Amino acid sequence: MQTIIPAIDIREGKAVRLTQGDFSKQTTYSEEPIAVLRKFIESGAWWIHVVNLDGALSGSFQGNLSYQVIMDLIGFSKQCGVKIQIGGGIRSIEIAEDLINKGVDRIILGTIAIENKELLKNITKRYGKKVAVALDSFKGTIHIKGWQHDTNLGLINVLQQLENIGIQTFIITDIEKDGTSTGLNDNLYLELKKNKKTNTKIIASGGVSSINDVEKALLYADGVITGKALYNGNIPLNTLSSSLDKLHKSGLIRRIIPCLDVKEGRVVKGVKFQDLQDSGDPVKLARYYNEKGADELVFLDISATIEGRKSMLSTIRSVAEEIYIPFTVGGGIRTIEDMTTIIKAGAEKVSINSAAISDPNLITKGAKKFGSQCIVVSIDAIRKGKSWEVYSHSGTKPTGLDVLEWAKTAVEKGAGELLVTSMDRDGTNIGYDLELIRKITDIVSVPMIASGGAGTKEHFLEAINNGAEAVLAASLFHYNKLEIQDLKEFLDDHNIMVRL
Amino acid sequence: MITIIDYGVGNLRSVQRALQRYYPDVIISSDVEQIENAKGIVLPGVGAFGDAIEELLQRGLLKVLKKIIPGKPTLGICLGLQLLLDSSEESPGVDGLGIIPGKVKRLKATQSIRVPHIGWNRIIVRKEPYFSGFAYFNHTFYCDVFDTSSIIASSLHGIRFGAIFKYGTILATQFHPEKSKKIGDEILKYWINSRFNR
Repeated sequence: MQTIIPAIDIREGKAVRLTQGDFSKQTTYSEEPIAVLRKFIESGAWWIHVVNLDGALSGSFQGNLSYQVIMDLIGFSKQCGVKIQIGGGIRSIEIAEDLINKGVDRIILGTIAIENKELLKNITKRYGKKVAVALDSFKGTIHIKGWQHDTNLGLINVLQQLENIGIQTFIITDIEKDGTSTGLNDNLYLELKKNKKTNTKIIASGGVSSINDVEKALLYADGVITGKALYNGNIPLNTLSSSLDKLHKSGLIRRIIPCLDVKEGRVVKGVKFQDLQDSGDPVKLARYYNEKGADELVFLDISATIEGRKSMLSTIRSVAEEIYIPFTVGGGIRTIEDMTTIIKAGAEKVSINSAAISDPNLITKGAKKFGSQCIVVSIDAIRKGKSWEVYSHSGTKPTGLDVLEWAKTAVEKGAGELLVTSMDRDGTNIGYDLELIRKITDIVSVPMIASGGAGTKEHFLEAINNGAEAVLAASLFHYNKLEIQDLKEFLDDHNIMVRL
Repeated sequence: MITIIDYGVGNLRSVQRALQRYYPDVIISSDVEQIENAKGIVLPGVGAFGDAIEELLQRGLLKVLKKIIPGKPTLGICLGLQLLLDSSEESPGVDGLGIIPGKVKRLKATQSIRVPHIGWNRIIVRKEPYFSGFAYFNHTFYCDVFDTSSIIASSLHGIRFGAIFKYGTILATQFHPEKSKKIGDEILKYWINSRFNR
């Protein structure tokens, strides 16, 4: 996730900036670093960069005036849901542990990454992705100890060595440029991009003097840290704010949705969990998935009897009142009254399929009464050469309708979301029909839930990268072949926003 | 007593159950007396703007709400928030309650921004009390309020829009606190504790 990271450097408890790492060239910007943090957070920052300059200089993170201030900054950023990375004198596993336990999202190691590879390895082994190494370069060689000491080690060489230890994130500061506001060193970052591993993240720092520099940095870096330009007004906070919004576009995460088939009040399609007794109970299963991190659920009622439908309603009520997970209910919904009953019972959304095909105006009526955000049109698609045909009645009856045409019509009629199942992929575990996802999401602007064919984590990633807002699976989750949390971490590693 | 206003659409039990964790006496009603006598009211929301206003009108609640909300602790949820504004692009020509000056507008879809806005979005804090995390949204329209100082948190979906509002006696959310786990729970708890459990 590319972003702009405002920096707060702390010395003797105050927010300061140094020029070119020189402790004698210091400007104090605020006696109250918390107030600075608050401004950055209100601007919409996703990440904050904090450096303990006292720690960097003395080699000891604790035992200085800045320590308590930094603890307060951590607490406040946690409270505001903003991620925080911290560096400056983190030179022991105890300090690393302390910071991680306090909720720091990334610790930044500098000096020890060069001087103590064993310690670096240990910390990386324990904290993995939460470890970043800051490399401060001056004319191509690495400087350490608050930039006071030239190691004469080449930047690219060191980066590659550290990648092999398992470091995935690097903060590269060009000391020559830092605090000078004379523009970023493009060549340096281009060189890094050429020589790094694909998954290695480079965060650029030093010399950002304008929003143009920020935008330029984001052409070849995964993030850019800016400090001085924010303090001296070269980048006004409202510019930061609009740039962040332009960059992120939305804070909406991609949803992972398990689907439960319910017949006569029981979950069918053999759900198997060792840690769940009575996995046929839809309420228990809903609670289970809620705890496991599902973002939403879909219940598909495949009951054939009136009693079956009634027990479905009691399931909906229980899930809504006890579990508070957002969910959609589909199956057998034919009238506005059906929708009313289900929405009143507690479903966020209703999903209609065959009834919408026989009477598309049902979509319009539902959207008028409940708002289109409550009306999901579910489409079962079977590939026919270069196109897809809509099947109704649980995928048993060909309708002659073209899927893309029908998707367009359904949205025009008021559908707020499309749940598209590739029937020929369903249950195969060979992956979603990506072409179908791409074509549907190209022609409609409502969110699409992709369904049918998921077998591996990569399949979910592909579906999302091809335009799906949400990804649905059944057996893969039910048979415990894939943990939702693992899937989310995998997606997070691949720059997909998830709710971890 | 807290009264959740029942105007015919939507599930109110999950809101009731969620509130009852902090305050037992929560009822669901469309009875004028039970609304007027309540210490606080909840204006929930599922549905479309015009339909909801019509339902309130038919139940004789429109005038009652206009009169009492400015003087009574009120929690607005999703459409319940939108109803408090002057009008909505969802139902042109229909007047809202007109308590919070502003218009309800449609979110704009683009290549990467899908509308309706469905799912978990990040809350960007602006003011105290700070509520943070991811909240569950399900809406097409957002509140463009005249007095932006009433926005205590926002979210980003193409544009930055108000996610949590504090205006006079009103606390309101564009998302569904009853479905938003931690942040939702914190808001409901805050509302109860700050207004009723003192």
